[in-house]
Amino acid sequence: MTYCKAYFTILIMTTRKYKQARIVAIIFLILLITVSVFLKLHLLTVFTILTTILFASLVHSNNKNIIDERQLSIQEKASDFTYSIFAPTLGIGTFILLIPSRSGSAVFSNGEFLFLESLGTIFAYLTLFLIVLYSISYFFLAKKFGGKKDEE
Amino acid sequence: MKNKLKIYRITNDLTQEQLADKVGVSRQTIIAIESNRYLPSITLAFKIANFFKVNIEDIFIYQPEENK
Repeated sequence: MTYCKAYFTILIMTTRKYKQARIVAIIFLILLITVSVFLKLHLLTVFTILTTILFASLVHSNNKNIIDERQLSIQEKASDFTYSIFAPTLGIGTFILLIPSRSGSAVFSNGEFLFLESLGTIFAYLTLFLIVLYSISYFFLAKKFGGKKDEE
Repeated sequence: MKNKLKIYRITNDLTQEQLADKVGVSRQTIIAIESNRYLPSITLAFKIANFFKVNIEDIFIYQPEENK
């Protein structure tokens, strides 16, 4: 139960945590730009820069940095929307990448596109991770907000 | 759900910023509620009603046909 409480204490978004989350995201993006430049992955660099610009301009903190219920509601809906697009994309992507590589088609049979199979495997693990994460979150949130069958 | 928040705010000679400070939300939230783009939680609705010293249903008017 203590773990449960600690888990939800982490989840409660305060102004400070919101700012910290923003900083962590920006640090990640900057690190990714650095790594991609260093590894000469030009396409990744371009996409990371574009993502950084998009993030910095759209997910800006409001004037007084008040995290109120409307802000939380927006965050909830944004997360829900993101999950509902990201999870199926990964799931479908897994099959699109895994099935052709073993289908024996001329394009894949010479082993040139072996990386697609690896990518498909990574997608599969990510999908599994998302499902596990969602199940655990759902379980704890259902517990937090009550509504047990034997409860009146 | 309709609301008379703007009327109460103007009657009490308050700006959106002042009301937001009093009930502990951002100005954007007050704007969103006044323009019916955001439905406040029961807690916030009570806070607002308590601030104006009126009943919650004096400010927020439930319209059941909206759910159909």
